[in-house]
Amino acid sequence: MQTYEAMMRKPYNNELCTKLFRELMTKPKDDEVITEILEASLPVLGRVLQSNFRRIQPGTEEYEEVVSSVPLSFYLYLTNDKFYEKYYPSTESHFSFLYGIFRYEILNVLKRVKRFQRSDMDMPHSPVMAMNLSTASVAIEYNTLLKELPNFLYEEIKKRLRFTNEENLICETIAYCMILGPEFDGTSIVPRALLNQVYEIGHEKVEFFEHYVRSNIYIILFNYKKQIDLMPSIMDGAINTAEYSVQEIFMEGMHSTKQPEFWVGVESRENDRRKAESLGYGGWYART
Amino acid sequence: MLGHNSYQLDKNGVFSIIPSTFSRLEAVTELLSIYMASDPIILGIYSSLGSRVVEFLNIFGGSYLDFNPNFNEEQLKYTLMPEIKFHFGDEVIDKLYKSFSGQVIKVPNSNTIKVIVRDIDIFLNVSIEKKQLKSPTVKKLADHYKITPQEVYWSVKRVRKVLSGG
Repeated sequence: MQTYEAMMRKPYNNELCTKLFRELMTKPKDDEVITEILEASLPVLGRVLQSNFRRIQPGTEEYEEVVSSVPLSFYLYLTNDKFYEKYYPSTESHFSFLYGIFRYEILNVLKRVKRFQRSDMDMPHSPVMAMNLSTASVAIEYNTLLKELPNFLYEEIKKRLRFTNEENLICETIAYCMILGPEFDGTSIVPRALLNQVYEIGHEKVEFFEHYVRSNIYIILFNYKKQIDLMPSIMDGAINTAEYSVQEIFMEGMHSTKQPEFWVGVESRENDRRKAESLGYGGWYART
Repeated sequence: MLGHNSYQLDKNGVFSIIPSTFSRLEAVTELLSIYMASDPIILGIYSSLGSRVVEFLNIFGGSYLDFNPNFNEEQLKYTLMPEIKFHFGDEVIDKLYKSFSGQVIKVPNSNTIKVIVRDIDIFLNVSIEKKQLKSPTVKKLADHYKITPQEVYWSVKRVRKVLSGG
């Protein structure tokens, strides 16, 4: 596993970068490709720091903030649709393009750090601590719980099912609809059409299987409740350093439009705003 | 997609669990039994489970439980008894069979339970007038349960009304 710092010290390979960006065009928002792109393009961040920001030395608050939150904002750019469309045909412009992005982001970070220093406040942790890619060295538990909880739940429930053959299939499909459900319009609701078909096959009412699966979901969630309660909220991290909140990114990962309510720590942006105002960050929050 | 019209009972509650309460859970459950005194199902569950009522209601909310003592193993397979046995233990199942023998009960919907538990927790923490809406405890509670301070006031009012018998 590599840290961002280790990635920044690596040599830059322009050919690899162009190849990866072309791959991203064919598979937009693909996690594996995005992580590879991050790995390939973070050396440019190292060059920008060396050439334009020599005062920022490792160990300082600013350096840590740059290392943690610039990759995040770059990740957010990558998850956006078609932002790189202009650049992908040419093979030479990638370096300058990445250079511009990183320089701009570093300036943003420095502005934010300065704002906090002026008001004699500690710099809050960046949301990278709470949400991160698989390459990050920090917060692996949070990563698994945030990003992989739905998959994890689905696998746990598969293990727990005590029915066989067709009934097992029914339970699996219901669990899939409830937890992941991208094929059913992303609403995570068990569609009636499916259940009506299943009704003829099963020995019991389908409603029973639905209750059975849901109670199992709750049992698993209760076993993990302590960990869920301990997880930091967005306010514990930075209030809103990125364009998207952690919750929104997580929802993208879940392929659903519904709020993930089981995640107790994370709150909506409105609540964050309210919280920020109660803590006296109101003006700052409004500006950003 | 066809047919999404309210098949699932807890539409929004597939993943949601009750956040841990501010006051002691025993105090909340005691007051819950008083608050829901008109509901025999909750009273029966409270007598057999004690302070774990909230957990039980959260897990099995909205589902049917068949307490038929004459069921075979195959018939028991199509009830939720194995889940109760696995999570709560044998003693709890015996007590539940004593209180609900031969009945099919429907556990109240988990969303309503969540609202009631939230209201009781708020009631135990603050007894407010309308002037005190800006107090820090109210803000803390409102943030915890994701509601507005006004709703905190309403929930206190609701619980007070039921407990006074109005």
